[in-house]
Amino acid sequence: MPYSTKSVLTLILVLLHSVANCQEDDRAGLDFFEAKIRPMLVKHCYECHSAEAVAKNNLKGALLLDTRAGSAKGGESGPAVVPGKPDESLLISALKHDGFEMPPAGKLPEEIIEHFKHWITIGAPDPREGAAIATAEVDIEAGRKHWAFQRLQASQPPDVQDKDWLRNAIDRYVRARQEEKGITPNTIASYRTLIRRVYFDLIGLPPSPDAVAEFIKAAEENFDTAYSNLLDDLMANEHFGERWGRHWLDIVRFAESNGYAFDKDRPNAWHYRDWVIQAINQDLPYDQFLHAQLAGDIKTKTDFTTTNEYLTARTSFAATGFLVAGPFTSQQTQKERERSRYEQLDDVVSTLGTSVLGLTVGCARCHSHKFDPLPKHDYYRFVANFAEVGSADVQLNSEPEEFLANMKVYNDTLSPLTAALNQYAADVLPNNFKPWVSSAVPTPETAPLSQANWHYAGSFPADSPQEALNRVFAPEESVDLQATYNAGAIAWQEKPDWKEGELFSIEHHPNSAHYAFRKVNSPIDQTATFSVASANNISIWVNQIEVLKAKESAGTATGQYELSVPIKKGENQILLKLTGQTMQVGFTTTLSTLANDPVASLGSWYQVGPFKAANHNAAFGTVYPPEDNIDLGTTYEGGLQWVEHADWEDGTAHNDLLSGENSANFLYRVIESPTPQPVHLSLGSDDGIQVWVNGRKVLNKNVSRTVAKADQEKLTIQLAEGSNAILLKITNGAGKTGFYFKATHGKEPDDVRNILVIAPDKRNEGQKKRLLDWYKGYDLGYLKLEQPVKFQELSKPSPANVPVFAARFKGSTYQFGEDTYKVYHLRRGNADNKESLAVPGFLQVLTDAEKDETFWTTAGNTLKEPLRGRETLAHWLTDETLGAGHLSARVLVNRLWYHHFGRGIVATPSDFGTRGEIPSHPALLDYLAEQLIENGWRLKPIHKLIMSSATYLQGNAKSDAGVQQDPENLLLWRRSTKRLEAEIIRDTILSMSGAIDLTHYGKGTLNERSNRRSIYFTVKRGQLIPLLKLFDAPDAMQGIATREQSTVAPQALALLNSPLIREYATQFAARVRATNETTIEQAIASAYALALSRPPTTGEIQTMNQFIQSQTEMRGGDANAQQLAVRDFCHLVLCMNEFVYID
Amino acid sequence: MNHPPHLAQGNTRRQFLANAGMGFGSVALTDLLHQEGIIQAAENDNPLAERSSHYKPNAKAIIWLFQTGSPSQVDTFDYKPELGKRDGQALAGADPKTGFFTTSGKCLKSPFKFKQHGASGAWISEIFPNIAKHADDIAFVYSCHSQSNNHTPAMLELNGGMIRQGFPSMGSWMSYGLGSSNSNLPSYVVMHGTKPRGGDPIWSSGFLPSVYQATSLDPRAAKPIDNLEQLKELNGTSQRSLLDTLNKANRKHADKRPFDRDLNARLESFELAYRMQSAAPEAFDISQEPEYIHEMYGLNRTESKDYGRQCLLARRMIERGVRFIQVFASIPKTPGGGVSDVPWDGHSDIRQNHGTCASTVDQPTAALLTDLKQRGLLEDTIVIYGGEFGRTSDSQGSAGRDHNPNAFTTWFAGGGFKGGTQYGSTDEFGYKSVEQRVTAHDIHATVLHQMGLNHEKLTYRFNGRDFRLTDVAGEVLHDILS
Repeated sequence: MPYSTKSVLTLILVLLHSVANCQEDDRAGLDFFEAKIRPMLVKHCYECHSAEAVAKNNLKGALLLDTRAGSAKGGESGPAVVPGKPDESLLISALKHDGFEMPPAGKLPEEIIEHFKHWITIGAPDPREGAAIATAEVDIEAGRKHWAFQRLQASQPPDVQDKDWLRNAIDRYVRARQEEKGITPNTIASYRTLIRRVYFDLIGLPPSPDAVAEFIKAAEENFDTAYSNLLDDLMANEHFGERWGRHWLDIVRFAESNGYAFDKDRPNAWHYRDWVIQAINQDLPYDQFLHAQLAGDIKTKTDFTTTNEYLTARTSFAATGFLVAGPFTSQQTQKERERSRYEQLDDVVSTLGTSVLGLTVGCARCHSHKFDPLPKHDYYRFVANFAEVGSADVQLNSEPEEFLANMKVYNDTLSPLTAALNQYAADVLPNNFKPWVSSAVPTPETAPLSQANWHYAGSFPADSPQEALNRVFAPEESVDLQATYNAGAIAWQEKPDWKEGELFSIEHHPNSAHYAFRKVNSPIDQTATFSVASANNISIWVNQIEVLKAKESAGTATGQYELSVPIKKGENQILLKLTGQTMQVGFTTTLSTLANDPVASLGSWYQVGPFKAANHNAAFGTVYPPEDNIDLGTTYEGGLQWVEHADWEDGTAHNDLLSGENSANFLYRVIESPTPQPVHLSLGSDDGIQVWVNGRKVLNKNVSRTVAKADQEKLTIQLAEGSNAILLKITNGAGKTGFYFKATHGKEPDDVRNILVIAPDKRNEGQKKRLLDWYKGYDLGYLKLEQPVKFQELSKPSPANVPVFAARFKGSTYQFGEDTYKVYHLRRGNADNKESLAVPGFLQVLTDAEKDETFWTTAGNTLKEPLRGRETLAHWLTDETLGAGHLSARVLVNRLWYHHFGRGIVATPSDFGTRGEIPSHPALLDYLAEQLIENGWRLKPIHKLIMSSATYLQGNAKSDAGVQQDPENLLLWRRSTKRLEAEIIRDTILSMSGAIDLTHYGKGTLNERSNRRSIYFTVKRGQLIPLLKLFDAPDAMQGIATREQSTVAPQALALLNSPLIREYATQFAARVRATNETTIEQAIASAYALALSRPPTTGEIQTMNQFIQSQTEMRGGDANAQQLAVRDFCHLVLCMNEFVYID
Repeated sequence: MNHPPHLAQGNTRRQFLANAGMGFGSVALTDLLHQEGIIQAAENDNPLAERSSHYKPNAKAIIWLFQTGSPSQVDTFDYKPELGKRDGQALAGADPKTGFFTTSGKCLKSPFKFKQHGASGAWISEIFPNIAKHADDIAFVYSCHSQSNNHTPAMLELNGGMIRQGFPSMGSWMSYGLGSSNSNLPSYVVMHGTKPRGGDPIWSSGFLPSVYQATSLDPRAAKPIDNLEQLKELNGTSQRSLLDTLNKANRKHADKRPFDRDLNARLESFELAYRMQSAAPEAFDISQEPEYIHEMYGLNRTESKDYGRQCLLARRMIERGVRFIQVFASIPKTPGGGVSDVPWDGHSDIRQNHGTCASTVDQPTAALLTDLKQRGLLEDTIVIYGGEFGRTSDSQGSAGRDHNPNAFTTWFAGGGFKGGTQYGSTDEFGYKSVEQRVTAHDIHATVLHQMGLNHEKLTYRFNGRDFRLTDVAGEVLHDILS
């Protein structure tokens, strides 16, 4: 969508009239602007009245409201804002729909208009200095002229004089430039040099001495065939993907942890690494390679039924690891979350830009790109392609066929059981339900009481026993525990030893009265049972209401009165008055609620166990026979039998009755119930506990505890009329094991109670259903059929899920409300400063001027199924005629070239912009890009093309003309020596030891002593493998195109002093000289062949022999002196330059 | 583009060839290369060779005492009597989103007493009786502020100017700009106990060549530098003779490849490694210091011995030519909210937390200033002291303070900073910096300036963009420089 640059520039004119006086811009005013005014302007006005609108040809009325100056200047109709004068400000009349009607979508709420009025009244304080940044200042058409943005230029390879040197078309481009300068290139390097070069280039491992010998033999017969076969073989070797995959992983900042403060692991991110390796091994065409990485998730099913579909899904999701490989800070404050999301999106497009397009797209985030034709507008539209991308561990069933087969078996077993249950529910249950529901009422509400200590006051003297009984003494008026009576002679005394249900007595004179008082707290209003016995006269008041007045002759104080007393929520006062004719009065009281009442008719406990398991989790999770069926006569495996324990008490913590570590004990008992009733259980367990009532599981708690005690678990169960089977499973990890059990009267859940108080004919269907559902717990017939269904459900097959860390549509990465998965154009990259919503789009400079984004959804109607979102972007990226494919192809072939030669045709492989280096051989670059496209974007043919050129094959000898004319070797007249990368150095040292484990693929490790190839180390951002880091492996924070190559002393220290390197040297020594029968000369030759792919020279044999001799002598006293000296020699070889620098 | 001369554009392989501090190979080889025009006579390819600065420097070295976890400005150096008067009252303008958690919005007075010190009359909290004696050596900047209210991003900002990972820290920029002024030790050393939250990326060399990375070490460890100790099986003369034979082989190999100077760089790196094996342990050997020095740095006190050792080692390294040393306060047990990776993080109890932290750092910090001064090193050495942000003036819970990126104090001593200066200010509650506000970029610009580097000219091209430590900002604080 091109737009005219000129019209824009004329519109963003002179916006620099000073309007609001700075003195008026007090802080409060500016705060008001930021809080109330700016968000409204952004939301309701900027779309048509801003520099952004200008950029999109959407400016209305020549009015810009995104600067202070613009607001003051106004548009075609005059000033929009006149500070201090709301009546003269057109903005206000427009908002009031007085003349103009703004915003056109509908009048804003009155409150907001008042805010605008207030703002103008106080002088319209406004911090928005100067002109707004307009995005259209970038001249796209001019930008297209940069070499990298032009379409590929097909050209004939140039003619050259020196045809003998040529091996393929590449050489013509190279030789032509050399001939201009009069430089003669090197001839082909030695076969030994070549095989070493090619091995390290293609698979990153040294050739074995046998491979060297075979190649030399074959090459001497027919070099072309031998060399061609060598390349083919190595590219068919799976190590090829490991070598070249690592290059791509560098570019896309691959890592397996979040980075930042807590550096959380991404344990399933390695699938992406494997995907890259496999894609390269399979020579997946580059367009498909990109499509998979950008959009693999979009049309991939997760509900597949075949292994093939699973493999496809795993591949497709794994590929999107590209999108989610970036660093991510998991610890964010509320304030940072949204900004962090934009950072994450920036990471994605910056990585995409540098890796695929060789462009620093990220630079256009805060302002249009200073150097490349990338307007800020393009940036946000580019970002918007990824608006809905989040990350997640996608669960994929790796064995779908087996799972489906198991499900069939499972369902076949389950369905008759379910059918029987359903039939019962249809035929029998309603008949049972009817009588119950017709009379069901909520069980009385009860709750435990908390009672304060008794207090005693007395004795109050009277003239006669009669008066003592009848006179109203002060405590009967009201009780104040601080009060004293009879001129201080009587005070309340606390009686902590007066316990519930115990008899206590007071010696007294018959002409006196005595009072006892206690406070009782209740969480609810309820009725309590008050059991009272007295040997004399007793009166009782509950909350000052008399509930008992009894005259007794002397007698025993047991079980005389069972009072039902109302107890209110909160504090209650209980007052007793005692008088009597004898010299003693005495009484006993018990105040109880049903909540404290144990359930009766509990049968003996039966116990069986311990059932052993490997650990506590296994003990808890294993389904043992008693869980299916109880038969007290059964003998279980290991001779376990049920044992009756009639003496096991309830309401006591038993921590000494059960035994067995990593085991399960089962406890079983029967409870007889006269009616269906809810029962409250207080349970304790050490450690885990599961509870079944009548075959229905009601508790499942896997915990670790040190001791069992009351109330660790509390639940309500249902007892049916008749015999109820209660089963407990107590599991134990280590140490002692035990349990606690107490059953008291309970009540139905609140929702059931609420329904029960509704008249039956007023209940709706949902309520009726709920009652029926509750009733099922009382119906033994139903429960008997339900049990096998539930038991069968325990063996429901679970899918063999493999988690893959991947891009997921709206994945759970961020959540900050409705803007989470939207992208806005941001002012200066600030997430708090949103402008309009960004519509997904591409980079204009790489898009044919006649086409817009919609073209790629159907590829000009050549596709049957339209592409979606990121798929469209991937298509555009590799469309070389109308989209960005010309640049993607150039960037890619240059990367291949870079890795083969150590320098790209463009020396800045991730910067093809105007600030990057210009290509040394532009026509060659285009030739290679065209070859890539002609070969269906396959990379292996390009590798072979490059590696078959004389340019690649040449040696590194000096040439006078070369040294004079081109000391930097820009014209490729010699081969440059290259140091191996960190991973390859380590892999090569490991392969010398003979201990290298060449297994491909799979989860990585952080264990430095792993013998696998280095690419299989887990890349944890905060814990990089020290040896790799030392030799410049990237930190995976940003994509890296060209690794630094540092040569620092710590590298030498590691090679010299690291015990691990010494171990490898020791193994290497054992390999080259397994026994003393091997001569030192043979060992030297063998080490050279393995490590350097060549025999030692006579001089070298002499030097090394001397070295070994002198090291042996130095260790004269040591019996293994010579073996240690051979180790030193092998250690020395690992440190040699020739070992790590490849010609 | 203002690359140091050795980092000529356009040749990535040659660009960073490094020999870690020493000259190259044989004179004969260098002559050969000159004859053949492969190297320019004036060019020096060693990225760590000492280089001339942009202009005459005022300082040669930096010791940054980083107070991890962030001390509270109002309880340390930024005296706010008004806060004391309004204890428990609403804090005007309090924003509950300022911190990491939620704060009360009510003023919390400092539990510590303040007094004025020195001729300059700087107000200093009673928790720093020793630092207070140096009031006239110190330039206080009260008006610092940072972007993030979260430890790791804020530390990244203070160290590398950006709240994101992946950017080089100031120490790396310094090594890149100035090279190394010694040949046996690293140029940039980070010392820590428990690593500060965020770990290695805080002192990352980012996209700069890794030759400029920090050597980070825990001085409490038996082997603070990796692989420094010789193998039992290969030590002393047996290692020397291996190196001699290795050199012979490498030299022969290199002679046939005159274009590849990395080869000689690598040869030299083995020699440097050999020397470091003795030089580094010598630098770490504080038993060479007399008893009174041990006492002065608080090495005989449990609470200050770790941080004291860091400070003493910092001085020993400065003496041996290390250019930039960063000490991350190592305070193992901090009550009141701090944990070992962010010790000053007094979320729940400022009195306990800051009392403990200060008793750890006060004596060694003061000792370092005294010691540098008496050895004549202070005038060439910049000492920086401060955290990654400040703390709220309102309370978190009853006695703690939350993170506050809007105001904190950083102070500077030595290295051409004007002692006894007080720069910038916060509001009357110390809640926000208001006058002469200072960012990490300003601090970086100023420190680079003192080291003779123009922060706008010290750039590095990465992925197509010229990066600076100070991004697109940064002002040199001339007012605090003498």
